[in-house]
Amino acid sequence: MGIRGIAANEQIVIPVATRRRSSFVTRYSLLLSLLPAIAVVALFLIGGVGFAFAQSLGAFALVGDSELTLRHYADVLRDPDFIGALLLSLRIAAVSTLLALICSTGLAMILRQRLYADGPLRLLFQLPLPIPHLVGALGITFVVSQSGVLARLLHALGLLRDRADFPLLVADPYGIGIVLVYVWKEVPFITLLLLAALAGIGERYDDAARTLGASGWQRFRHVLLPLLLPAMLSASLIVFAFTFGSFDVPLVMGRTYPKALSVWIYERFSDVDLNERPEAMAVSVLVTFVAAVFVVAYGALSRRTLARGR
Amino acid sequence: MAVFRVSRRHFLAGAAASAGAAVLAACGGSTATTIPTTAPTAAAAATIVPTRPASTAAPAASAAAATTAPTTVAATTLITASTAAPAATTAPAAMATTTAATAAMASGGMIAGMTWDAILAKAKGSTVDWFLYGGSTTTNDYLDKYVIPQMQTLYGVTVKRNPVTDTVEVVNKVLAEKQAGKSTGGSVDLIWINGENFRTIAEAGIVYGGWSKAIPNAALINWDEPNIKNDFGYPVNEREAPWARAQFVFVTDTVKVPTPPKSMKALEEYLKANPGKFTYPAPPDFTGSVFVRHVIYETTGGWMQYGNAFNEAVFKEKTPAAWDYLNRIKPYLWQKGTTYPEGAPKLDQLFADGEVNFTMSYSPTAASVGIATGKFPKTARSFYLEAGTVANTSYIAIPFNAKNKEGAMVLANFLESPAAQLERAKTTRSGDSTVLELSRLSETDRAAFKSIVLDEATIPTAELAAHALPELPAAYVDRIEKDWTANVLKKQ
Amino acid sequence: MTDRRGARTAVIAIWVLLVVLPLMPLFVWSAAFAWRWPALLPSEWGWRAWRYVVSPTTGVRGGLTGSVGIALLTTAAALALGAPAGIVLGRATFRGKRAVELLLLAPFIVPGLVVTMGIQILFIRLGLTDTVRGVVLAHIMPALPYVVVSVAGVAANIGTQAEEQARTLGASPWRAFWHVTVPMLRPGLAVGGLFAFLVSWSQYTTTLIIGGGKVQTLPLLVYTFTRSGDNPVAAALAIVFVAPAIVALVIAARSLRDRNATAGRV
Repeated sequence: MGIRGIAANEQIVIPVATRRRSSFVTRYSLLLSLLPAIAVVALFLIGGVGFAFAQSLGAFALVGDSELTLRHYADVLRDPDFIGALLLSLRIAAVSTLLALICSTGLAMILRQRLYADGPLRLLFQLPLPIPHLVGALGITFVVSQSGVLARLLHALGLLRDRADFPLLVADPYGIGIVLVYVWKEVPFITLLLLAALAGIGERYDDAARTLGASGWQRFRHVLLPLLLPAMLSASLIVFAFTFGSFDVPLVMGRTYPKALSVWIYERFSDVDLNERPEAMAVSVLVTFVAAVFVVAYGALSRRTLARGR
Repeated sequence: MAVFRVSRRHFLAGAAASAGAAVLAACGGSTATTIPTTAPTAAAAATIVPTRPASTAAPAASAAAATTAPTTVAATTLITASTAAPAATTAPAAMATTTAATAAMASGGMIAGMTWDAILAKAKGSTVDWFLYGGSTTTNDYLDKYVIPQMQTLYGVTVKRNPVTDTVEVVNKVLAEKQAGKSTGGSVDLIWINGENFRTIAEAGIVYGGWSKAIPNAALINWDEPNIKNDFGYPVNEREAPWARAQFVFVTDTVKVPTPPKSMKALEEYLKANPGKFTYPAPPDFTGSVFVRHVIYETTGGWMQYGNAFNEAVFKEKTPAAWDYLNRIKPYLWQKGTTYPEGAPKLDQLFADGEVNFTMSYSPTAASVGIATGKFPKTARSFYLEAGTVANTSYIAIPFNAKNKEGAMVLANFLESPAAQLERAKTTRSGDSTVLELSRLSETDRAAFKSIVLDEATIPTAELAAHALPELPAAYVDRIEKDWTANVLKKQ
Repeated sequence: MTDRRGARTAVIAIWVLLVVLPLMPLFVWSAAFAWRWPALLPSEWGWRAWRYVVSPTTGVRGGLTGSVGIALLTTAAALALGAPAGIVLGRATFRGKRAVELLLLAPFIVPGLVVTMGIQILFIRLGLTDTVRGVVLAHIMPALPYVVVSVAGVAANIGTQAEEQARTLGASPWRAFWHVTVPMLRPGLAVGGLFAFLVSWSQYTTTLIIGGGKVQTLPLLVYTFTRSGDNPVAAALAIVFVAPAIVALVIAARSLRDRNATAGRV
């Protein structure tokens, strides 16, 4: 996801011109221009998910016979470990998204001031965007683990007797470390999206409300927030879906048990017991289904955003 | 039958077709390209028909060599310069001695009848894709700075080291290739493997067989030794070549733990007095898994009762005592046993940071290496359980569909050469434990191995060897890991 | 007012600290020989990790060239495939556009792990696994939406006026497009290309599954050393891994600013 933020900046602008007809674009060249991109994405999405689906039904089995069955779905849905993994992933995604959204909103409110419009600060706060999650996970582990920089600092200040007294933030039961990485990574992304939305909204409403004597909080609560809501929702959807399916952070910072869903899937996929593979594929298909719901929801939502924008 | 070119030629050349069935059975799959050979040089199936007169008797072997040497092997070309002389006499000998008894079961000792010279010639200019655990800088250094350049200089073979995080990845890769119907031109030529992973590839029929005892330097290895002949109790059967030894040790900081607990009982007492200062990696991590097996050995009445194959009744009856023990110590573990380090390296890190007072390793020299790399405190020392400590062997195996089997064999042979073993001992500080049988080496080589000095952080090899315990059969290992998850990890 | 300003500055200072903090220990660890609890700084410094990283024999260079090469190829392919689609989506209206947009943006949301696991078996049959070709192909999908979105954004912003003016002045449609619109699209192409590069650069799972361990890239090495607990080497590799991302960010930010200057902000 990483640098999606800056791109999202543009995303909001797309519809502005969609209703115009280009002089160059004919029906023919239109097809020609779209087809390669569509073909590649369709090949992977439909091909990838299709093959996953086939394998989840027991096709391409290496051991045993390849009869088609829904058994693997039934097995997975009955597996308490699967439920545990699912709940953990949902919780991590929900908490990360919510925290990131709150921080981003605050940050966007500050950064929208003209003062910071073009300074180095704007660049600095975007720093985590292009940094790979893996590095974020490593860096944050070095900071918040029980023998990390924070614990050492507290110890040096005499505030911590033993590192065991430092709260367990990596490989902890709640995935706190994982959430920290996601918040660190996604706040710049959501903030950029909100800043773009704020730029679209402009100062008019804010000024009008100010003239009417609304306080800062009132202006935020009753004027900006409703206007920002669609952007907040669509950003949250992307972040939620991403953190739900993401793999490398929980892999590095996760706990022995329960595991995040993506790690659970990968472990079954790479288990030498090939009977586990269809189960991995079954869960993949379920995750894809959830993701598809999100895509559609996002589509519906961003359409409404446009309608509102006009 | 999918075979690679050379094999087919020999197969068509009229090999004993009846041997085919036996071979297939041994390799567990129709796609395994172990093609019978016409040449009576094969040292096949010696594990099934253990007729080799003396695994040691070098003079006898030499005598045999004198008569049978000119079979197909030109031993002088096989071994690195420094050791060519002794190997030349012993190498063909061991093969020759098994010839008579095993000819009927021959599974292609000389890779489908090819002479070693022909193999060397074919390997020249080729690339070997070796997949192995890549997280150890000392092993990586040994390979990058010694093995790879040497292979290029001596044999013109390019070795590509493909680092993986877990051997399971490679096993999975070959399985996936088989699943997709790719039975030739596979991407993996050689795997560093043992235990469950080996059993998996053997039972899935995706390991190439009939070679590991036929390569020249195999004669320097005592194949009758249980720890070489069987990999976690699973017959090696010429499907993998030993290249390193391992034995389990604990490491502690003598400043913090002057008298380390040398039994499970002592460990429990120590934990009750010092809660939070011990943990073990979560199985199926290799090291965590062997720790649990030590618990099983000590708390359920020894390894002998488990036999040579998986026995459900015994397992069910005996192991609850071990789960009991592990659950008893759980509240006194690091993080109160609510989570475990996911691998031995993480435990090393916890030990290095002083979060726990112990770490454990399959490498007897772990403490010395840890001190040398700055990771462990200088007061780190190894110790072992008085009831014995598990020893095993690291092997290399060739997948059934490897595209460069010849190159892989040349590499395997080189890794088993005294020169390479000595160099490994030095650069990886692996001590003087070698897979080679010292009595079969030249005087010079033997002396060179004996002259390796271990520092005080490591237990002398002979002392450790005296306390060696065998691994449980591989089938148990998988079950133990699953039951640990159910009975210990998930128990609240 | 000054109070609020002060509070705001404080918030920003804390935020900057939080942003930068996780990157600091990487530098310290990479130069540490021994850094044990509870020392605030390593008790012994050493260049072991950096020596390992720069050594020509350790395979780090191979990983680096692998990463750079694959990312460049992915960028080129994603631009070639995505830019035309982006232009059309930015400027044209047609039936089914909504569906096309959703499809092209779907890789943002559908987990790459799922798609890659599913498609692995097809790739094996096509002989694409273990090859740079296959890995590049697998990287295109997650990279493509970034190109589409960036180019579409710029294309929408430019509109068609300039091109129409050129037509009025007698330029052929193609000439008008090529000489007027394409230069104006450049910032979108640059930003989209940078995104594509970074997406490919950060891929871990895709490379692992399709490259099968044979195609080595930096993230695989970083992960291996993170997992093996060799903190100094993992940290040094992570720094190398981050460097181009930061360069890219600076360039992207600059090019965005330039575009904003020329195209004007909403």
